Amino acid sequence: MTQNEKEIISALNETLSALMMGQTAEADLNAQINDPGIEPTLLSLVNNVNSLAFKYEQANDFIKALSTGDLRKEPPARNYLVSSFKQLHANLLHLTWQTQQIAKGDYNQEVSFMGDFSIAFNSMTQSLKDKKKLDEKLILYSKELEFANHTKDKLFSIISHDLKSPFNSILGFADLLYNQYDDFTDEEKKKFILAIKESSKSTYALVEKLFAWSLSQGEGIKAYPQKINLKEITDNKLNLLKNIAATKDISLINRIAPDTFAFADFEMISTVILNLLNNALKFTHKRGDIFIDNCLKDGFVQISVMDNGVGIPSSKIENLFKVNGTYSTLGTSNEKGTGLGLIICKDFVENNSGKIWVDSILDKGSKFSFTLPLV
Amino acid sequence: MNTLETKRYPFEWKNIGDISVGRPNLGQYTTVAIYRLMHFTMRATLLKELGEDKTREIFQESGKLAGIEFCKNKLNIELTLNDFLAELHQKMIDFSIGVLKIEKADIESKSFTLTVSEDLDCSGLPVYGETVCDFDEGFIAGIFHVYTGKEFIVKEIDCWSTGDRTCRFTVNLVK
Repeated sequence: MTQNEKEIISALNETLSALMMGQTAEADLNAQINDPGIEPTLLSLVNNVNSLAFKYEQANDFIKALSTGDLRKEPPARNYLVSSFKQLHANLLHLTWQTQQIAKGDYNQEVSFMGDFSIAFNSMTQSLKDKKKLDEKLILYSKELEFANHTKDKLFSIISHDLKSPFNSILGFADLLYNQYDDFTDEEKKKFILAIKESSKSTYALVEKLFAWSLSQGEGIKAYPQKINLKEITDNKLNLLKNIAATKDISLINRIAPDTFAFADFEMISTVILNLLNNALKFTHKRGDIFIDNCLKDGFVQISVMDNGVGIPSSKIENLFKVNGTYSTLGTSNEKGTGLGLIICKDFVENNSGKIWVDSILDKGSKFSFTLPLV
Repeated sequence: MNTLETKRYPFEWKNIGDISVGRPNLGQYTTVAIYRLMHFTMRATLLKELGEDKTREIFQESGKLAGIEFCKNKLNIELTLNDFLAELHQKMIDFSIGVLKIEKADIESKSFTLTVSEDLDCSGLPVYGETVCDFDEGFIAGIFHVYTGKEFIVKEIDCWSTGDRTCRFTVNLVK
């Protein structure tokens, strides 16, 4: 071995020792390898060791960055020393992307083939999914609770206004009759008794409606559909209302065809028709007209109650059928209402697979329509 | 990736035939070794006859055709991007093609970096110093083409045969 060759091997040995200690340094052998007599194998060894040192330094830089979580450092190309670390790097980049998607709300991300990490990660996303479902349920329950509170408030509001005040006149007149019976003429006594009767009737009607409505809010009400004759039901209700109509000289006209049938609950639809006719009477002036008509539409029978009364301001129409909508208004002869009638109509019609709506022009009149399934 | 307009090829998924009828005993599956036997002998012959560039081009084009048919027949293109990628990931596992992972996804510019580990074509190959997954480049381009209606350039930048233990592909829109 020549002196040059010994120096080369010594320098290479030092380089390799340094590499084993985690240090990087290429063997500076430019002078030695330029010797024209150098053995080609030795020259190749020098190049390989220097190449190893270079690639080791590249690998070291990359692995250091990886160990601190810096995934932006690009892995060195064609460096076989970092092959497995590149795979780790790729996996970490993918996990980072998946975590970003989860942060955006995509809880369907799953990790495959990463042993315990896959199990833990997938458990975490499943928990997040379950929590999201729970949150959605909570929001739903919260809305239902809000609705229930509105219902309760409406009830209390009606009770405090409409249920208490008639008792003022009932108790007042009863008191007068009891304490000063002999002081009044027969005519006056009849007037007091009539007032007690009228107040009792309206209070009873309110209690009936309250009961029907509160039942419909719980699980208590259920429709029992059967074949019903809408003409007959309407004739019956018009008969009940003819005295009231006569006091305002309002004409009631039933245009429903004799063989008009629907498949619905008899009591519920009777209540709906009575309520709509009552409303029409309340909001129509003296000598006005009320019609009730039918037609077929999209496989349903449609009933419409039309009047040429006061109409409804467009700003109020949206809340007409709502529990938390506006309170009732007085009729054309100062008739009072509960604000519950239309809410009950909506509940009853929808319980029978129908829809209810209104078309109205202020000072021209209103048309309340509802649909029911055909037999 | 060849960006020439795709011709109408006489291949559809149905040309694969009904394997359950044809192989009632041997079934749907074979080994990766047999798949590679066919793939790499074909590759070697093409290299000898046509040279490297043409061979790569042929594998990319046929990969694209395969990706188009695979997407049309096995994937739901109505899904959102994330759900589509999740379905693609699962289908590639189900069909033992590889384990697809997303490293980067820029939705606006429609550029992606994907990795496929345990790739059917190359995982476990000796180090040749060059990428060999030309068919996969086309396959991915074909799938993205059907999903988005646009043309993509897919380039493999890391491969098992370049000494990396996973295949990495860049996917970019053709401008």
